[in-house]
Amino acid sequence: MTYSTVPVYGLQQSFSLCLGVQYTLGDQNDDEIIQSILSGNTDEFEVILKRYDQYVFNIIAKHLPREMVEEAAHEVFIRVYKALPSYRAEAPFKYWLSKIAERYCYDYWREKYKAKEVPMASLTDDHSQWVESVLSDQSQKHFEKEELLRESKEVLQWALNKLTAEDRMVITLLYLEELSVKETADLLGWSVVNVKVRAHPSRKKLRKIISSLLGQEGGHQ
Amino acid sequence: MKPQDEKVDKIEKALKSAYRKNDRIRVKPEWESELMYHILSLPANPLRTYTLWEAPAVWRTATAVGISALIMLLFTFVNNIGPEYEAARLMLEDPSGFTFAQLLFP
Repeated sequence: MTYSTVPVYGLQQSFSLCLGVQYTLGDQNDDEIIQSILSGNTDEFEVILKRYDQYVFNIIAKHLPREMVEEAAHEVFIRVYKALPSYRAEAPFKYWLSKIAERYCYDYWREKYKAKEVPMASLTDDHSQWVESVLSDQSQKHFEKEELLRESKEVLQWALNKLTAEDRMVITLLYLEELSVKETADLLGWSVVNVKVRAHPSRKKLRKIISSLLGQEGGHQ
Repeated sequence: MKPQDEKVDKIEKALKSAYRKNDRIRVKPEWESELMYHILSLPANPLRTYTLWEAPAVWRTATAVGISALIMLLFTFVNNIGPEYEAARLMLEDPSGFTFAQLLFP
């Protein structure tokens, strides 16, 4: 397997990539750089930053609103920097980094739900039309057109916003990203049993939310 | 499969497809330099493993008190001037008085 053939920006692919291979760019590998940072060469964090910033951006962009990505990535790298002494090199650095990013996103949503700051925008006529066009046997290519893609994403956000932070993360990682239960549990720091217990009810909730869309077909909320 | 389930499946599939078509957000060089500026402004202490004497004041004080107590205990034990020695002496000198004292001052 060569890096050039693997799309490293999808979390699932990156995760698999991380399992067996140390991801290196440039002269030093991650562990050497981290040792150097820990011994006082804090400037070397820039190498880590440049190596993984796009990767972190891509993880965060899948969970948080677009306008939040830069701020969230900033916080993630601060967390990473502060947690460097606890990095044990038992798993590749990239995977350790992705865990911090995923858990940041989970914390973000938990805080938002706690403060009741989750946007609960209503659906419009455009969204109802989108539902109608999905149901009218259009080809997959049809929905990937720019204007319909935007509406699809808005409907997806609307549906995810109706879930709890826990359900949201489980749905995103397990169902949308198609990660395994073990991978999901590991990324979120939960037990495998906890993820298994949540998986089915979360999916059921999502389907119920989608069903409510069908009731609005032809009209809007 | 119910017609309603089929419809939900179709919408689910479309939403999943939309999720996978995520736009890539490019990292700006200004963002990188701002973050590095923040990182370098952080104290280097979190990256160091503390020795005892570099620990925060509260733990340093607690450690000092604990070590002092241990030294005093050892000293009283070695020189027979601790409460154990006193109790044994009283018991040998005046067993009934010792028992009475124990009732009053347990």
